[in-house]
Amino acid sequence: MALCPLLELHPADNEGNREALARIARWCGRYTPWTAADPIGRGEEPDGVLLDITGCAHLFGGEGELLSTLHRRFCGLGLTVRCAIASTPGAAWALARYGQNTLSIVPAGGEADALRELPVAALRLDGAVVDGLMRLGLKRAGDLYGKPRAPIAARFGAEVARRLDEALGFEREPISPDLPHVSHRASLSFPEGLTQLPHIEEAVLRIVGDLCDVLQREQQGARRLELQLFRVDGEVTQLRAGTGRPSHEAAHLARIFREKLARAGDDFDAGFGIEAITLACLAVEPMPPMQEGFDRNEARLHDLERFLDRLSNRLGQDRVLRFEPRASHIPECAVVRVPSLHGITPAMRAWPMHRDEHRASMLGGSLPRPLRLLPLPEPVDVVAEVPEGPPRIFRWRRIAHKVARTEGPERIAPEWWRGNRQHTRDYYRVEDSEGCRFWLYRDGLYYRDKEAPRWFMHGVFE
Amino acid sequence: MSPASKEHLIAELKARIAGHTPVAGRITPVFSLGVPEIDGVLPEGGMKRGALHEVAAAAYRDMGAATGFLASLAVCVSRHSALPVLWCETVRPPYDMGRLYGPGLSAFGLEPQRIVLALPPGDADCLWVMEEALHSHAFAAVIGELDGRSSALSLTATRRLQLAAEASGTPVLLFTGHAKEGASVAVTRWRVASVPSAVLSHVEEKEMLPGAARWHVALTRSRGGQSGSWLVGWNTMEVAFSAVAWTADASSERNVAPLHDPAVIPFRQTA
Repeated sequence: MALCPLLELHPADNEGNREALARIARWCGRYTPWTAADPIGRGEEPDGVLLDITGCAHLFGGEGELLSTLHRRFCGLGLTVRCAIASTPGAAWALARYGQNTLSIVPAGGEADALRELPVAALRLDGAVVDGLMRLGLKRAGDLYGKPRAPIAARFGAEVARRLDEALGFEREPISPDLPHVSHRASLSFPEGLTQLPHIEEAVLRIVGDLCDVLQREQQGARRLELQLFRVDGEVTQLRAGTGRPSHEAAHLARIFREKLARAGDDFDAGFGIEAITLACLAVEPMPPMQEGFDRNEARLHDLERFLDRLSNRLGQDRVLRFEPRASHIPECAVVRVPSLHGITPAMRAWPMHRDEHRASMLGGSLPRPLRLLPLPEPVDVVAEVPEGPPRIFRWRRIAHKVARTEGPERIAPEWWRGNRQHTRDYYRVEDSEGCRFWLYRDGLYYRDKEAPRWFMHGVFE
Repeated sequence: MSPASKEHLIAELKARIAGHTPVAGRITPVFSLGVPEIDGVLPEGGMKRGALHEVAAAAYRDMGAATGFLASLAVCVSRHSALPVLWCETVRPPYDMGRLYGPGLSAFGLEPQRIVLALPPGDADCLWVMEEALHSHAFAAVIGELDGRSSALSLTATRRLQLAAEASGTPVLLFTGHAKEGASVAVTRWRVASVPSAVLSHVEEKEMLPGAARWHVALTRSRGGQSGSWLVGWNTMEVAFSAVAWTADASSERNVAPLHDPAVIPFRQTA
């Protein structure tokens, strides 16, 4: 501080750095899908990004062009970067951090020469190991070439030889990207950033069309899609969409994304412009070509599926639902609401059977079920003539109801095999003096449970 | 064969096949409630398909009854159709009488597998969903639960729904809760109240069980038709209305309300 009084000190924000790296890695996704924040850095913390550009470089004018573009873009974002391209992640790592030039490209097979003069620290080794090697006089990576491995391994562990092999390409080292596996992918980039929503929508329509052409040719349909919008200033917006049935219909998929963009509306910020868009299929399913039906009903079914896709993507999957019956006597467990994107499940076809069974049980004296069920049974104050009898007067939501007629009890025992500690319930269907019908139950049995049974309101009849 | 003539041929064949479908399968402009007394009062002998219909509960406690009437209308609409019914449920029901219950619907006679539930987060979303559903032509009926007091449910909003319904020929049923009636362009408006079960003469009153559901249904508004009010029952075994009785005329019911509402200040000309 005495040497440089103007020096400002800030505590290291490791969390923030890591987040920023992840964001940069995501942004690099416009160059190649295989990007990841490098888990290994020079110190304790990660300090780089790895890109697997296999098969991608030619799309950007070759390796040299790609490297300089990347460098220029990063400088434009206000970052100080060093970049290197090599055949192995290890060699690229070493050159980017210890190489002489800011930008370096190692031709295939030239790793050994490129690394020869670099310090051993460039081999991604622990600080202690590096210190030990330096003390032995093995200062450069080149000093390790051709040295007997057994003594070094005995002293410093197998790490040294493994890292060397990885850097020189004798051992495989795959990059695991942050992205899920993607089978189909399309991308579009623009010379000038798109800032207007209609332009972005047009671009989305085009990219969806590109992807759908490929899918159609391969007789595949998309189930889950991810659209990424890359902003000029390094931000990435991700939009995900799903369909209830595989689809390669461009107009339909584009409409889903258009509605998502419109919904993002005010939150969506194109900033200084969108410069690239990628669309990836996260899940595809085979979709053989089908004979178009002559039937109008079939066309309506397609309309339905399309509409449900749009609705689910706009409102959210868990807001567009269907009823699915479950084999349970506990009323609240007898039905679940499943997202309609799952389609008509086999269990749903059991509803008519359910109904027949119900009719039979009604003739046999079982009680009907209410149209509306309270999500949580609500406690009610009940006056009954005899403790185990039906209610005579009950008070629910501060209104007293005089019971005119009752039907019951229907005894529903807890499912002991599930291990939950519920009580046995006695359900009554009651009608008050006004003609309103309710579903009440007494929770617990007088002779068995220690606590006195309590009454609950569980549903309302038609 | 050129593509144009191929398309022409397919269109012709489709038209010929459509000509062979039985008459029952065709969409009629109205749907019948299956009750001659009520159908007779409605213009064209039934409820119009491409129209907005409102159902309200007479009071808070009648929400269950109104839900039942709504469900019975849904049964009537979808009787001759294979299409599903869209039911937009408000996420936090102002009708905190609980959520629709599958086994209950099944017991009532409305097949749960034919219902698609939508839970829009707000009233404006609910209106959007209903309108889009009408445009999609994929539903036999669209049902929406919207608090009648909601500001989103304006005259314009109901007009939009009515126009969308007219264009698609799909009925919209709006459940407006127990709120006072707001401005609306609905073609019909129904008020439903629950009624105690029928008294059986041969059973002692104390031993009587709750019977089939009965409602007092008042048609308080019917464009181009008469109003009326009836006592109707719902038979879950036959999945149809039963035991209809004419009660008082709706106009007499209206007379019960004070003619001079003290809240209404007479219009005064100042000029």
